[in-house]
Amino acid sequence: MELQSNIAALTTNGIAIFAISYDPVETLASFAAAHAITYPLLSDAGSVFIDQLGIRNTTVDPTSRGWGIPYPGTYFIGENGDVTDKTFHDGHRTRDAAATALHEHFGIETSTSGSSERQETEAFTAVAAFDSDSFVRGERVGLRVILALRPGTHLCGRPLPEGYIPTTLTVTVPEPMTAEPVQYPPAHPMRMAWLDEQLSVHEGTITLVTAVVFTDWQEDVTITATLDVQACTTVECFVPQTLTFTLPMRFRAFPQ
Amino acid sequence: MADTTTTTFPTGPVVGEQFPDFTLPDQHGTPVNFTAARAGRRVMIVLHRSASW
Repeated sequence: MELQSNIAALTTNGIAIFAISYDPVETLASFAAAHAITYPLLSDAGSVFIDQLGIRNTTVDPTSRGWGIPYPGTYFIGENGDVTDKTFHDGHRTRDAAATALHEHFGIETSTSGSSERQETEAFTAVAAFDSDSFVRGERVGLRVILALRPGTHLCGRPLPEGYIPTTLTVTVPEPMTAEPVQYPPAHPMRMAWLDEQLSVHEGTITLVTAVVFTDWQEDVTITATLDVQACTTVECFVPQTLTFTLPMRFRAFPQ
Repeated sequence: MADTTTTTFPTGPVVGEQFPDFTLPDQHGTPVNFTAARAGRRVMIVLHRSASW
């Protein structure tokens, strides 16, 4: 997780962060120094607290150096001390990018430093942005496309009559990476007097949400996101458009 | 937001449960008590494999 680069956003939003591992203090000290980590790296040498939580990774060979590590996961704790969320993934190499976790679990916009591209059309501006500009092997990084429609214009949503193009985002990734299904905001019905038809439309500013899992990927990669849209005003519909966003992502060897 | 955990292994305290208090030394060797250090703030607790491998 690129946690260190999100410390300012965490502090601003009143969120504390603790990382726990089974490493001795000396290991954490040299790691913190080498990577300029300022947030608390806590040492659970002997894995006593990890065992109290019941999350010791028992798939590890007990004779190996890995015996005592936890299953990799993240807990989100509310102001009253209750667990509000937790994220553990099957597959030891999958973990949410810090900015993605903070956005999804605390509703925080952490940074504007993600890989992004902005495009403008006569009906709207569109920004496609990853939560980060980099990833570690197996990381899950959120990708959002924010469409700001000009007043008086709307985009076709779902459901639609035959012949219209609903707003569709397609994220293309090389195998074995995966892109999650895109979440679209609800569209609302609008009567088109000039068409004598009812369409489902989006108005104002809408956000399409997905995420890419960089499964087993260990080099820089460029992700392509394609947006198919048809914009309309109250008097006409424009020709359907396809916008292509090119989003370079940098590979990081180290998690923090 | 819903619990996004999808696993076949134990994942510890469940959503809605109080997270257990703990005191562990940080990278400076200073003991950090969870309840005192968070001081009523929301918290993100990340369980890492190891910082050295």
